[in-house]
Amino acid sequence: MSEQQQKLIDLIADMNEEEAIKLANSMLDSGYDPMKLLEHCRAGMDVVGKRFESGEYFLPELMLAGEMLTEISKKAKPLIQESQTGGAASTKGTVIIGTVHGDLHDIGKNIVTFMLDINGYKVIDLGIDVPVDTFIDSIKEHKPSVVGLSGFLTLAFDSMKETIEAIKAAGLRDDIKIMIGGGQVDDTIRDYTGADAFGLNAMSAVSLCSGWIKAAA
Amino acid sequence: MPVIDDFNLAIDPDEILQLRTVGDNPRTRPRMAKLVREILDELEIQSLIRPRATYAFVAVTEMMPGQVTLAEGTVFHAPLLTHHMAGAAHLVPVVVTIGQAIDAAISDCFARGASLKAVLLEEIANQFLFKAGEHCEKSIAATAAGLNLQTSGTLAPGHEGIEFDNQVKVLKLSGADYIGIRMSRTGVMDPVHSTSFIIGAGSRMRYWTQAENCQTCAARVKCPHRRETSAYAECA
Repeated sequence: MSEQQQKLIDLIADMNEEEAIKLANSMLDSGYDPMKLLEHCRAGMDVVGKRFESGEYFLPELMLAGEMLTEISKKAKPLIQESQTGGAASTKGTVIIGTVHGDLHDIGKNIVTFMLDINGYKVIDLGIDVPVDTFIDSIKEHKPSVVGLSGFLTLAFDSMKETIEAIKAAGLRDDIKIMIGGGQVDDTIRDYTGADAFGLNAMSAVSLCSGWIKAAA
Repeated sequence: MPVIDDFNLAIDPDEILQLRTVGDNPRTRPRMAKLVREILDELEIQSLIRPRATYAFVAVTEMMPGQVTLAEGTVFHAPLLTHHMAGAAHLVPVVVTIGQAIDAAISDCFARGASLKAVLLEEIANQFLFKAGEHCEKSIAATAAGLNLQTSGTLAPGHEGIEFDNQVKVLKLSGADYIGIRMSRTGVMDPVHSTSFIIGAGSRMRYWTQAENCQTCAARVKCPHRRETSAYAECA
């Protein structure tokens, strides 16, 4: 890795917003491969994610790093599309996410959506209080690799279980991984709902998707 | 139902910057401080925090371990409540909201990609809701004092020993619909930045703080908003 590449990673990891964007823009202006540049940015984001999980960084820093990546992507993505002769930039995979029916909390879901998006996933956000049928229709339409069910309160767990059972009854369960997240989820709740995994924060969701999609590749 | 709407809530930017959820990274602190100030100004200019509360003094007709029956027929099955509020002549169900506008503002920030602002807005909204709840506690204590009654601390549905499904009863008794609070099938309040709790009122009531509630809350380990009772508790 060149000194310049490492510098970009370090600037993002250390929250040097202005300098990171300036360096990224200058690299793009001098013809640097935009796809590779985004890979370096995501490497910086991985460091931020690890610092978040270790307790060194907090949610606002995770969001700030995400916004840096978004800002850099605004310039990089059109260049990638140009180099692919008009085609869309590739994504790591499709994730459908929503807050289960009966629950109206959207902050956790929105944070996970944002983090998945900046980490290269195509995210279909179904919103809050999502009926079971909407999940099923969306799975049929978008054929995602992963479905994320969000719910803040304990009473959302029954809705999660109901949603997963309906996905199974519709014959769609074997083709997807399902992760759950929200206030009180743990492995007991994962087992109760029939999900494949649970995440305690947005970075867990990114790690789960990454692991599953790599394993399927 | 009595409605409380004489809130005069104010938050200093430092109160937000000191929260453990915001962190203390010196590199990002100036940016956070600037954004928090901007958000607080925006909330004031656009009147995005619209606190209202409603409550009712409901006479207790029978209280036995784990169960309390109220004059109008409601029965709470809640061991923690009967333990902590033993001797209460009245229960006071309370519901407080800071309104729908802030929920919409947070969702809008996420939709526009302003996720840092959205999470700071969420923290600020939570602090306003906590303050609104504290204001209600004081207001109800003053009303109770006028009736020669003392008030207890608060207990909320969802706390261990007072099952979450009691929330339906709390909202009905307090008259939540009077102030526009609706409830989903599973008992989630809309607007989301709302809270409900119960206060005991009687001739001799024990008061406890929210920090004491936090010590016995099942969500304590993961809850970013938990309060500590002392420096010792913080260390422990």
